[in-house]
Amino acid sequence: MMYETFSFDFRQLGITVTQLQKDMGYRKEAPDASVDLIISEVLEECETLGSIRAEYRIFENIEFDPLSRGLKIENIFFGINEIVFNHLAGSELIAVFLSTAGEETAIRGREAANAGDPLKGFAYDVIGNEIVEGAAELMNKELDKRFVREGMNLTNRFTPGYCGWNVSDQHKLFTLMPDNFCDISLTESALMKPVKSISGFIGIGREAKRVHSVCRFCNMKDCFYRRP
Amino acid sequence: MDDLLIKLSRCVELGKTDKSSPYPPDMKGQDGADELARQALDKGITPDSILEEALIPAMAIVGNKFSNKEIYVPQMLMAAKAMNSAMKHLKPYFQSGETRRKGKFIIGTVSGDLHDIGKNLVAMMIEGGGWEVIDLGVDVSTEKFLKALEDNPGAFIGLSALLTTTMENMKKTVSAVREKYPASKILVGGAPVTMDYCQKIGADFYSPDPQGAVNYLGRMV
Ligand code: B12
Repeated sequence: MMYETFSFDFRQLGITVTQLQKDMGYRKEAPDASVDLIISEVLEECETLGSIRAEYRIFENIEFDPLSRGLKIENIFFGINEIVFNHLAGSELIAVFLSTAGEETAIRGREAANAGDPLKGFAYDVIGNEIVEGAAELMNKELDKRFVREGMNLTNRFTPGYCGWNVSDQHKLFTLMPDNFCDISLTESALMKPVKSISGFIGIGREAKRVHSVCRFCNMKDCFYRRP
Repeated sequence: MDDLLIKLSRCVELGKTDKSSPYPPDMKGQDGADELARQALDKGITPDSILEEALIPAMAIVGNKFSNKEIYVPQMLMAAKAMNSAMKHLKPYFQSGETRRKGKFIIGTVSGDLHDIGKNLVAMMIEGGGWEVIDLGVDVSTEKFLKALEDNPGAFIGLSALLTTTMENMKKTVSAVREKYPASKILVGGAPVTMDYCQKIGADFYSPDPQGAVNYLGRMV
């Protein structure tokens, strides 16, 4: 079984003020100087963050079922549904991944909010989201490099709970991973701890394609994280 | 209305907490919500007037702008911070019973869920709407909600959840609350929650944003 573990330095993620402004909702107009000030402060404080991690594990024993629009990995059935099925079908391998920003941003965010600075608390929350996504993206790039050499391509990342794929499939996903992979645990209600964690599948194959934005497949049209 | 109250209201709306807050730039060096609330009390303006005429209306403007996507979370949080700085001067009057809030609102993220950012925003805005908020935190069991209701009879209750799986626990809490306190009013919210789901589980009100909840509560008093 092929797997790889990554530990990232915050600076490697290249998170920018502009990106965080967007995450906070600002698109057309720039936020007030005081918001930027807090974003910059939090960005700087995050430079010392540890425990930013991502890991993937590659599975060859996979089988797509066009009838149920499902996918079996090591004989475990995932009800990935129409949209995800259409993107993953044809893959020769599946990379199952996890990535996490760790607990630190949440702890610092709570401290800031309790100390009477809810805006700083929110900035930590938003940066936590960017970190976990950024870590997954860097892991994705490494995976890409590795398979390009073999003439293979990658699909987008797909996660349980999106695009009609039930979030409770997290339980099955976790059975494919060694215990405490990335120090992430799963609760009975399919919630990952630390909260700032994501999980999912990436398809790998000669015919696999990565499309520009997966947001257009999502039905949360009003989501302020929506990307064109 | 007294000029001080107009100014105070404006400071809350714009998130001008105190004299030292650098924002908004054109108000730099001027008194903020903190100082103005103190001055209003010293001038003999009643805590009730400060709450009803300055703070609550300012927070309603902010909440409505957020619902209409005219402002974003950071501006809402700055306003909440400014409001808190004014509120701290009113706390003694709440404690002595001289000034009363509209009622009590118990809020928590349901059992199995640890997300709190949305819940916290709702709590802040409801407090800004003139309610006493009892925030039970995250991963709140049904028993804890029931105990809070027992300790605070007649309180409204708000449940938050961010995943479809934890949203299921909302249903359990709603049923248990209904059974023990049939007259209680239950509000639900969070990313996966919909009006349909609210009705299905027998909750009383759903809102995609905090102001909807503030308005609903306002209609109930
Ligand atoms: C950012 C984000 C994340 C972040 C973390 C979020 C956080 N808060 O910490 C990260 C990237 C880590 C993440 C991970 C995951 N996420 Co996510 N995420 C989001 C996203 C894009 C925004 C959430 C957010 O922070 N919103 C901002 C806050 C302020 O809004 P809010 O919490 O919703 O609260 C507002 C309202 O809902 C309302 N409200 C809230 N509570 C209450 C209560 C009452 C009484 C009332 C009246 C109103 C109210 O008022 C608040 C202010 O307006 C949403 C999609 C969306 N647009 O909502 C998906 C979403 C929440 N995620 C989702 C999923 C599936 C996941 C994952 C399971 C994916 C995966 N497999 O990896 C993981 C789970 C993580 C875990 N720990 O288990 C789904 C959940 C639904 C479902 N299917 O279960 C959503 C809805 C996306 C979707 N398209 O379906 N996620």
